[in-house]
Amino acid sequence: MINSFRFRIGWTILVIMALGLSITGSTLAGYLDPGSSSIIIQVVIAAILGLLVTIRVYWSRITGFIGGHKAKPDDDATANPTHDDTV
Amino acid sequence: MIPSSFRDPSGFLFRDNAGKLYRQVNQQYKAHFDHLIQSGLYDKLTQAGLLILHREAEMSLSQTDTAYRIIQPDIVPFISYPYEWSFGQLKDAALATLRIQKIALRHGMTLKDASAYNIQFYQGKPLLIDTLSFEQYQEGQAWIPYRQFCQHFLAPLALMALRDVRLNQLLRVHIDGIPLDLAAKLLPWRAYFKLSLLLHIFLHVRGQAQYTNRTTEQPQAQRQLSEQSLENLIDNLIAGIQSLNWQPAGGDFTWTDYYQGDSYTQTGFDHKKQLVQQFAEQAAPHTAWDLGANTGVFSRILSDKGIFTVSCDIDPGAVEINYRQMVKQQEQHLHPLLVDLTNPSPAIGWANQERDAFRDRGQPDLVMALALIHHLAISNNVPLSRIAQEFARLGRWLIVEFVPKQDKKVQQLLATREDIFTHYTPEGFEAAFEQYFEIVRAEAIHDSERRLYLMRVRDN
Repeated sequence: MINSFRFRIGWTILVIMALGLSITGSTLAGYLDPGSSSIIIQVVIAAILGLLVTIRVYWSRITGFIGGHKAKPDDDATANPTHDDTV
Repeated sequence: MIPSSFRDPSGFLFRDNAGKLYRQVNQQYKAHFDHLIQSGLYDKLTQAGLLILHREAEMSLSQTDTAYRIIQPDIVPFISYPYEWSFGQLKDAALATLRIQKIALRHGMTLKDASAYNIQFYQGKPLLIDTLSFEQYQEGQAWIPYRQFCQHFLAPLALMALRDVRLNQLLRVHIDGIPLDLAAKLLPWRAYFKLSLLLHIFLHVRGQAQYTNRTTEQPQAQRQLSEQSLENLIDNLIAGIQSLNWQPAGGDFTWTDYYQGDSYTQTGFDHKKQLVQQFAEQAAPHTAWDLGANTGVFSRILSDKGIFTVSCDIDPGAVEINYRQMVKQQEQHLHPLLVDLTNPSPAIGWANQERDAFRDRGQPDLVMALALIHHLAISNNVPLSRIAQEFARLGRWLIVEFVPKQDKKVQQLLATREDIFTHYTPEGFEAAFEQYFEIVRAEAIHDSERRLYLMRVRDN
């Protein structure tokens, strides 16, 4: 079974490749306001996170089905912070 | 109006003629303010110790005709800034901000600011001091302060944890947080393998470069975020912040052992503690600044008696250990602070008035400078009279330790340099300080050649 660490690394690399991420050329000119663009990229980032959550849910179902138990959640991915925020 | 609060049209801070602090809430913020109170969010956050308490005050105090309410917030005894916090302090402030955002969402509100300057340490815990930081949440609304949060918290914490803890000083230069493109350049390659940093810093920078000046071309739908997506985003930031850690070199033992080291015998160390206690009882202060406090062993002699004590040190490791101990023991009267006394925090921001210089943030009743003078006078060439002058400006009472030239620590400082400090003698020290202080008590510390003084500022 692939453990959560390898799973995370795999996805991290995939995300980098998919987005063609590189620092080169990403320095901002000082007179531009990066604030509004952060709103748009936030939507993209949230979509990626949503995708990762979905994949994780399905992945735990698959590994649960094969291994007969639930996979451990990935602590740096999404959801379920340990502290109590109950209202 | 207080110079730090001019940006927000929702309201501002001001002082009345007697110097009491108030906040005016403007008419345009009415709906949001009412929602904060009526939704139960204010009660929830204040009970959780996450938002500052306030009382309603007389409307006659209003400063302009745009006033909707006047509120009187609790007073935070010492205002500190993120570049003066240890790693743990900044991390806890970040987590408090995100926790507030999550609770706010459940009450139909969202933070419109995520500035580190809105968080202060009060009774040992991070607390939001800007009551007007909330607005009603509209379904589909993105998180407006996302970039600000990344710049104020995530980027400095990542740099401190993964590159060098001293990089928090970039916050002193960049008042709105560390620019993400700069953070991305400074972070090591292994930062790419942390999902939260990959997304919220590296991809964020990429997106900023890509979309800047193209925001008006984007359809409104592309700026929409469902509430669930927003929750996912906040949860991922929480997990990312929690995964960042930093340990002071050598672990806790090195720091606790540092105090006594080879400078004192056990008898001498205990005697110094007794003297500090006696001197503090004589001065009877309500507030104190311990300069060069290390991990705060002597600060605690004061704070354990309920004296609010700012415990300053230049070493990020010492301040971190001090803070951790404060959290562990739930101490309420101590404030660990990262300050280089030879170059303390200046006034910064618009017109140099938004954030005060360290020395302009109140006057403690007592200043304490233990095993510090030789660092200032010999390592940094600050003349004794100037040290005395500055201490006299800071507070009314002074507990100060003189470490003479024959002391091992001073000999270490002089080992590699010429001794140009002819006035650095007990007599020279007393003469310099007597220009500004009267010496109330002077005691030799047992088993040592060091002397401890209690001094009071001269009235003239």
